[in-house]
Amino acid sequence: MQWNAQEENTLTRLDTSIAACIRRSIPLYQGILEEIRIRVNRPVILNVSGIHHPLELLCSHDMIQTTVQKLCSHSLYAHAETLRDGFICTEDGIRAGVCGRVVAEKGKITFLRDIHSICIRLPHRIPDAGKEIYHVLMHRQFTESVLVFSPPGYGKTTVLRELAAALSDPPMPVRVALVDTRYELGTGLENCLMLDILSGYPRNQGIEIALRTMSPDYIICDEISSPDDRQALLQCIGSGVRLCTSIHAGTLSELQCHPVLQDIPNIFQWYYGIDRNHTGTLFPAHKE
Amino acid sequence: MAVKTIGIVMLFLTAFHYSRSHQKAEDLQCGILTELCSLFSYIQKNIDCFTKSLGEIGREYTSPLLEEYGFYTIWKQHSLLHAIESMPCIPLQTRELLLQYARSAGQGYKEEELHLCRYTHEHLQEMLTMQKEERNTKNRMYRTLPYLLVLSIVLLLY
Repeated sequence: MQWNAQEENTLTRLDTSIAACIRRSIPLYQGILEEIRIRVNRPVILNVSGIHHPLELLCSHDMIQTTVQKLCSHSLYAHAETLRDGFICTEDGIRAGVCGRVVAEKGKITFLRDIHSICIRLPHRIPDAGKEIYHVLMHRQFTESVLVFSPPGYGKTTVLRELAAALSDPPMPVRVALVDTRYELGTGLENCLMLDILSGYPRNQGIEIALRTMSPDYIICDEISSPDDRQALLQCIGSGVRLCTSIHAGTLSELQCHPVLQDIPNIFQWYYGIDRNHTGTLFPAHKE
Repeated sequence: MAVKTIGIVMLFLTAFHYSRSHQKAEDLQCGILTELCSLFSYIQKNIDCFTKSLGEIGREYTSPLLEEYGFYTIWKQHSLLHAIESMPCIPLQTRELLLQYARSAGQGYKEEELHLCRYTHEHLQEMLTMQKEERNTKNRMYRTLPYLLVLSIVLLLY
């Protein structure tokens, strides 16, 4: 397996014994390292090109705590907001999902304690991932919107990231505002010519701010799911701004029943479904 | 007579040099404590207002006096704990307090961190006040030491 600087950087954020175990195991596997999963009293699991490989090392509670501390740059308090939302995002763009025991007050999560599972997702640039969508949008003079759908972990974020890069970079750059709620979507896109990244904004507010202040041609955001997101989508109707976003759905029929999309009139012209093999299919949203 | 006078002058200069170096050491300890107090005040404000990580705070804040001992360089390269361990000229009690802070810092949420920071800052302030009082007392003694020494030798010899 090829080992790049970002993966090496990720290892420096792990407990030293976990990092050493991964370093030893890496040459055994072929493909792209997509995920590192760490759980208390369970083996470290590497997801290499979609296949899970358990390693020989059992993680202790201390190893998890050290990893959490390193991921938080030894400043847990600085990540309190995102910890409440179930993830840690490092200064260098590594994103780790975490779960543990929460302290809740009036049904609202106030603190996360005793983290016992960590899932580190390593973002990758796959330049061809959004190509098909890009060509369709280009043929329509960038006047249409697209919704990417798939179950979790199938590559929606990668497709949106590549689409953002393709849209905002030459040969035909358009103005793109990227609402990166979880500091994941904008990774590696810092040098794109016409791209404005709204990092850490709540999705609905990010869409609203982008719409009002950045005069974009396209707004790109990840994983719309809540009624607030739905409201933000409604704002885009008739504004002349196009959307590229994603949603969790297994099939086209599941997508059409999704509560977020109910009663939203013709906002998307295209649906892009990704299957288990990370292969995408483009569907017209409305039959002509 | 001339030999005695030269001897007295030499004793005076030695005592003067001894006093001066001790005064400087006392001033240095006070200076370091003052800088540490400012640092903790800065940490407290940055956690409270901007929720910045300790690493970020360490990268932003500099103090020439602490940097003379490589405090910030070590903090940036390793950790706050290493930086404190590498600092000379800190009284034992202060060192213990700072090490205690460095071992627990960053492991809690904002309120816990602020509490820890306030606790350390308050104790540092107390130590600084004590150190200043002690310095004033000691400095009085160091200032008079060469003269008293010379006077006592003059009384003994003549």
